[in-house]
Amino acid sequence: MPQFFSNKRLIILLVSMIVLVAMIGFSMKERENISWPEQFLHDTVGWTQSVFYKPAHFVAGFFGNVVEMKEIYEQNRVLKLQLNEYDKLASRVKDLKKENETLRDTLEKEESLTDYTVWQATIVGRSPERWYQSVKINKGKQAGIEPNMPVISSKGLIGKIDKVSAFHSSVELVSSHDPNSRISAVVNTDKGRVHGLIQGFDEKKKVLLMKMIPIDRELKEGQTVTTSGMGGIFPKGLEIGKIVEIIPDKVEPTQTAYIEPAADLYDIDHVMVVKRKMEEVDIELDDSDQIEEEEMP
Amino acid sequence: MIRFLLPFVTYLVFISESTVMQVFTPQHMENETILIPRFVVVMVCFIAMYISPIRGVVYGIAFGLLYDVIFTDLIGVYMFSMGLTAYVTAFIARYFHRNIFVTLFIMLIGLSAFEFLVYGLYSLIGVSKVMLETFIYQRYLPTLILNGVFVVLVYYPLRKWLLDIAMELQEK
Repeated sequence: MPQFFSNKRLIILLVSMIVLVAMIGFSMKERENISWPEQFLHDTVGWTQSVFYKPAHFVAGFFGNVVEMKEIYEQNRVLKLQLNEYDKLASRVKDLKKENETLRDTLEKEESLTDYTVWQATIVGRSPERWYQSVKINKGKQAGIEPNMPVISSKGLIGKIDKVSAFHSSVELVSSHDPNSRISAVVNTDKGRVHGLIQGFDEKKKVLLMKMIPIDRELKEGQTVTTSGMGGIFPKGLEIGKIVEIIPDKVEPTQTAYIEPAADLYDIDHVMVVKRKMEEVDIELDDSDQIEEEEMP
Repeated sequence: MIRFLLPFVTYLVFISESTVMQVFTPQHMENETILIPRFVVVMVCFIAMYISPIRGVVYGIAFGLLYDVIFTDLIGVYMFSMGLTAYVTAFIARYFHRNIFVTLFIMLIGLSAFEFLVYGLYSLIGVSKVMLETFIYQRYLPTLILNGVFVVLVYYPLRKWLLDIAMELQEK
């Protein structure tokens, strides 16, 4: 019986292991932009993906429609009832908007944290392996997309832009593992606003974790969590989800809220990429980080 | 002709994983199991078994690299795992008479090796924080079943086609 690895092959294996470690080391550092061969691959794969994804979705959508047909009558009745209420609300919103504008004019403040520009995009593919959870959309650098922009569906926040090539970009979903990802979030309660950070995802319960909430703030299940607009790139007021459970932290005097994402992260076809109109302010923050690192012995 | 046809078909299989399969495999928030199509790995193992081990390893490394670049942030994990998987399957397959059951069995060993390699490497780096037990029930077993079915479905046409290619390559 021949050896599983002959000497020559053992050397090849060792060399390839070294190459593996080197490549992981190279790609592990935070890269703002990916190199051009990677961009080229991204675009080539993106084009072929869009050829396949749309017909597949069309077929799947057809069967979905047949099932939905049964529910449509009931839905229609409920929606008509809701429409009346909506009319009332719309006129009220109009009044408030006008009032807001006049107030802003008097203050001479033109941009706010809530303002954002939007790009519509379609999903062309989804990562089959679920360690990294990402989807690919058909808008890229040519359209003006940049890394770290937030991405929303019609229901709420789904993620942020990760890699950008010329005509496609990949979106890292909120459910994805990324230890560096933090989103500043806020809950509007009767007694005021409660701030916290969205950080991490519980794979088993399928919920987002909102951490760093002071222990004395009372939160209830069912309250809506939105982005707060603080800390960089996310505009204010994007819906993230609803609280399902609140747990006090074991060590620190804080509590953690489990948040069910408002958007369905699996059944999405169209997304919107969002860019806040107000300038970013995280330049100072980056500097202070660097100083800290330099001071480390 | 063959020179381009085989990479092209493998590329189509690669694309189908991220598009067609993502639309048709049920995947919702409530769903506990995660079905991951590993058709490229199956394809690469077939090539390693029926054409030549070297060719299989080369295909594994090439498509592993593509996988890394497109879907993950780290380059190297899939490249290494796919290459090694191709080699291991080709090595095991050398000692068996190849019929459908044996091929299925070897493919399942290859897929297991691949899944555990990726899981192990990602755990080591810190990308995955899933417990071993959760990994086995949530990902590994469903994935093995899905890809096992795929192996059975494509076995006869793919084997015939690959053997034709191997013949033609030998004649050259």
